[in-house]
Amino acid sequence: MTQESDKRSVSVGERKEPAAGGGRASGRRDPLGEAEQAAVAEEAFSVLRHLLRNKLGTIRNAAFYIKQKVSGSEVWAADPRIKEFFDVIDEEITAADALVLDGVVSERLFARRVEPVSARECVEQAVLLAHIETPGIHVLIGPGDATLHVDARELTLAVRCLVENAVEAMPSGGVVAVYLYEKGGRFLIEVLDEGPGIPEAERQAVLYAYCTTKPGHAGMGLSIASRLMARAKGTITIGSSESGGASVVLSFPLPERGEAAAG
Amino acid sequence: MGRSLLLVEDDRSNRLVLSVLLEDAGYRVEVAASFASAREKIADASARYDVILLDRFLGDGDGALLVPLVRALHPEARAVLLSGEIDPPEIKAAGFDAAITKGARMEEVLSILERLTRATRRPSL
Repeated sequence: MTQESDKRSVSVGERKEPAAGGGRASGRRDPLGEAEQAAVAEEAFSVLRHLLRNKLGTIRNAAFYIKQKVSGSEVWAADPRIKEFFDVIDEEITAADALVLDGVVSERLFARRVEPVSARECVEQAVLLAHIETPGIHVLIGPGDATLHVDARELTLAVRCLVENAVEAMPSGGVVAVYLYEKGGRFLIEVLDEGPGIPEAERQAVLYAYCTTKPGHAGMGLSIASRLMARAKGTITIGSSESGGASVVLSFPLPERGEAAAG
Repeated sequence: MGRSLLLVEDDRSNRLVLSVLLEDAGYRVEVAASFASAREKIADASARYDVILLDRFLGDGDGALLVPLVRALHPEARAVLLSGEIDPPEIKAAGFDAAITKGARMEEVLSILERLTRATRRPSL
């Protein structure tokens, strides 16, 4: 398995020139299409769920206020339906809230398969399938590999999101470097770019859907990667590269020693 | 004198309803409708808060990023997350004392706040 010190050997590592137009722009079927569709739907639903629960909570609290004010009144005593109607409001909000919580979208669109997969193969596939139209972009993949227990398509999709984000940060071209290494008992996939970087104050916010400064973009790449990492029991961390660009690190738990073979 | 509470919530309707209900429950409520406004109120040297109720997704920032400032300037205040989705490890990592789900019944909200403000020391999550 590759240790963090091997990051320095990227200059002699593989240099991948992405296929012109990438997987999606070439017109061929995108092998990540199903996974991406499920991930986008899940992100959109998550935002909607948050907003809806917010609204339902406000309605419930407003009804609570009115109930408090009228519960000692003559009208309340004279008409038992008033209490009944408040109970209806409360029950229906509870039911609506449950519907919102239970709406699992992605499982209906995508059959997840968690199995031992080569991290390196997923990274290489992600780079090959990345949509890269900017001239002067070079993607370097450092040495290293590990076997991870994840869905290969989801891992590939997460890395592709990071690579495409890195490319978009360099409209004049530049190098996207992808390192694979072990550190602190975990396996890391780190994607670095030479763009302007992500300000520290924004590094949490960019992990949420629809957070983008780029016109015409939905701003879902990092939020999709973040959600996929949570499912893989991993983490995603945003920092800075030595050049001042962005560093995005996917960190995975390693299988117990003696289980699946490591690279 | 009633307990003082800072409500940080960018949704106008929710801010109105919650602030009224909390005042009715005996809290002295101040409100902040944005991250910037909340930071200003928390940084005010003359301010004293027993509870700071923070929405996470404010239009201009993440409410969780205010917790370190709360700890530094209001060490006895309880920092409570108000959110549509609660992730316990995330709450603990962000340093909150408790979390309240948006949509929770007001009786539950008041019970949580009562328990927090009655404790002489900040509870561990």
